[in-house]
Amino acid sequence: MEFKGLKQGLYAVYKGPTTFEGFLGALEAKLESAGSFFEGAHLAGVYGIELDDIEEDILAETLQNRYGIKIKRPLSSKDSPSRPEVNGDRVTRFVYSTLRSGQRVCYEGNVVVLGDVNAGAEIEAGGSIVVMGALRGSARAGVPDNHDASVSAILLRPIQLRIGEIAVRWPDEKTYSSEPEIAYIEQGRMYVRPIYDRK
Amino acid sequence: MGEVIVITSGKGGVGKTTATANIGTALAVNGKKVVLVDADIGLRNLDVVMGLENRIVYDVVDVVEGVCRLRQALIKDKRYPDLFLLPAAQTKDKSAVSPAQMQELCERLKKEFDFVLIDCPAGIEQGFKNAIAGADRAIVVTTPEISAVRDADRIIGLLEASELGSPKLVVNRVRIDMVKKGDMMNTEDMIDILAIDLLGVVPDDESIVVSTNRGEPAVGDNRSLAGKAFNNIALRILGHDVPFLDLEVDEGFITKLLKLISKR
Repeated sequence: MEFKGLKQGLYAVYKGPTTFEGFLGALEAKLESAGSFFEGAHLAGVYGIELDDIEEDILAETLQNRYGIKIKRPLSSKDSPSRPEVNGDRVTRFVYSTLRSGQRVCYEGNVVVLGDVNAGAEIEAGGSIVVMGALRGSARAGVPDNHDASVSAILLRPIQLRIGEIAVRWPDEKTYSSEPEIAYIEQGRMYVRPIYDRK
Repeated sequence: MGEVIVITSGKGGVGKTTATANIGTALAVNGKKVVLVDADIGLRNLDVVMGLENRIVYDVVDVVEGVCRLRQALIKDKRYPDLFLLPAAQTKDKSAVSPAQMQELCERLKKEFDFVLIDCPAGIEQGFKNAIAGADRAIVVTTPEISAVRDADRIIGLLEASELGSPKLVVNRVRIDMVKKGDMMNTEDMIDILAIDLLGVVPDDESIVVSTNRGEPAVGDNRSLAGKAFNNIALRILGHDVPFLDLEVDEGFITKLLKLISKR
């Protein structure tokens, strides 16, 4: 079970046995682990399973009462959601709080965090990642293979950094810079530089 | 109407139970009516730390199952008449109680006590969910270790998700000599990562080990620096503005003398 956030709302992408019980169980497990992260969100579509009216009723009630999520009916369920792109630029998701250990943000476009990303938290983005605070967790930009993506932060101190399929671990002896830095790919290698130096 | 405070940490062994016993005792010393609830069903410890193990007849599971009345399960402390303990069951496990039952229990206790302190088990599973279900606010205990801070961060995230926002931090077992040498995380670094308010800093203190084994909370011991720190935490909970302890003061006359000599 995965969530995709699009302009229209949330899309639940389900891969599992196509029974309603299996789907609901997977959905609830996902929502339980996310805490109140999705509260106030709108579910716009479901992929991987077709729901009839009664099942949609049950789904709407469960989501509304237990997780504060509304559903937009009728739920769209035709094909998989495409990458969110507006005029060729990726759409950006803003996260307005610090991400703590165990919390995870996954988005097809860019991700901007107005807060810290603590060790144990994870961000995965199809585009670039900007953290307006300290990045101490794991960040993966340019998923799956976009080498134009970058990861920047006011304090760039990740446990592990990935751009596209290139992953780097911070060298143990690296003395941390207290300047804002950006990590990017050039000719298949990852570089980290102070933001203000980049040509 | 009293207040329910859950004392939690995520990681085990950082001193949740010791903190619960000491803060609760200190609140009682300051004239409040306090009940300590042990939510660590199956691994109960709070009764031992309080030295009340031999008085347990009924426990929290008996209360929620209606085997006994609430009054019957409450154990009055040896020294402080306004301090009570509601012990955990030892022969059951966390699934013996549900969050809804805990919530109802807290509501009942709140009516009779000024403070209901809940000693949360380690972990983030059922026991944790039970412990925080009825709480009005939370105290997160950590030690100056990366692993404990990491777990505290996770817990704060979960507390925020359950609308138990703005928990307060207690940093336990700080060794000021090690912090000074740069061998131990300092409190500022921890606050920087966790981004929550500091409620107290408790020094690593041998007297805690002694008092825990004896079943007498250290706040009763005037010579214990940790006891003093816990007392200050209680005063801050009561809304007093107490300055943080200068942990260096209490290194003792002899140590100071030795330091002075070695400097020369």
